[in-house]
Amino acid sequence: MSQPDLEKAFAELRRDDASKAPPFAPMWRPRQKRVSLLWIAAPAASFVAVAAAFAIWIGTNAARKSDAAPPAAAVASGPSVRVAMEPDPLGFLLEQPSIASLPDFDVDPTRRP
Amino acid sequence: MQPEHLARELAELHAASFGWALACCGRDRSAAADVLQDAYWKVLDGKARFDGRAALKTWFFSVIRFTASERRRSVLKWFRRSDEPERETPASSSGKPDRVAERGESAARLSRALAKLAPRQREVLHLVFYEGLTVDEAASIMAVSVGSARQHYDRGKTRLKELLDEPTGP
Repeated sequence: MSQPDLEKAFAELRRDDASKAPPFAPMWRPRQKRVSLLWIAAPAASFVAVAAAFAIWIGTNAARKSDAAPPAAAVASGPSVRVAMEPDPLGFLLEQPSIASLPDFDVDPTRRP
Repeated sequence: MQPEHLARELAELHAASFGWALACCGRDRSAAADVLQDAYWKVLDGKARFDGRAALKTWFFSVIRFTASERRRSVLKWFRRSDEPERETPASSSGKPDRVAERGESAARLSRALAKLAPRQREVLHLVFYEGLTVDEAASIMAVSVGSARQHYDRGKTRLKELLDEPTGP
């Protein structure tokens, strides 16, 4: 193939390519911002983790309470036993004073009889 | 350069840019369209800036070439695609069917022959014969020395003539 034939073939190829080129306008547009999957997955995963931790905490707390609770009978008898064994330190405030215990106001305690 | 002016210049250069992208992608049309889109995005995102040191065409062709080589490096299968024959898009041709078929046959034959050349040879021949650039300008776009570009040009032209002179199969 001679040089002019080669040039002619290239010119034909150029025309052919130009007719098949995609349009410029749709290509000359800023690319759309893609939202990273991490932005969706990370909050969802953290929410699930917090919910799971809360559920575990609720479960262990309930189990601990049920283990530590004394039998119903012991609960009922508890306060009365304590009252019987320990005297109330402020109980004297509730006591009614008797007449005999009142001082005699007619007698001056500073004077000698 | 103002963005509107740059867009106008690139729009005028669009067909040639697509042809160059085809040459950089081993005549694979879909790969060329992807590379050209990436090159435009580089310009729009400001990753590739035209500083006026070279001609706009030389600069943008360098961007396309670099984008194509990035793509080849990142996706190995593109190497295999570069050896595949050109795929036709049915709705893209225009003109009378007979003339188009005749013209298309010649262009397709050249396209097949170009696809068999080494990438550097294909690129320099494209830039010289297709774009009408000098070998010096082609060397600048290809980021090689003028001597190297000339060597690719001579070897490529010889090989291309051999390929085109080969009798075509049935």
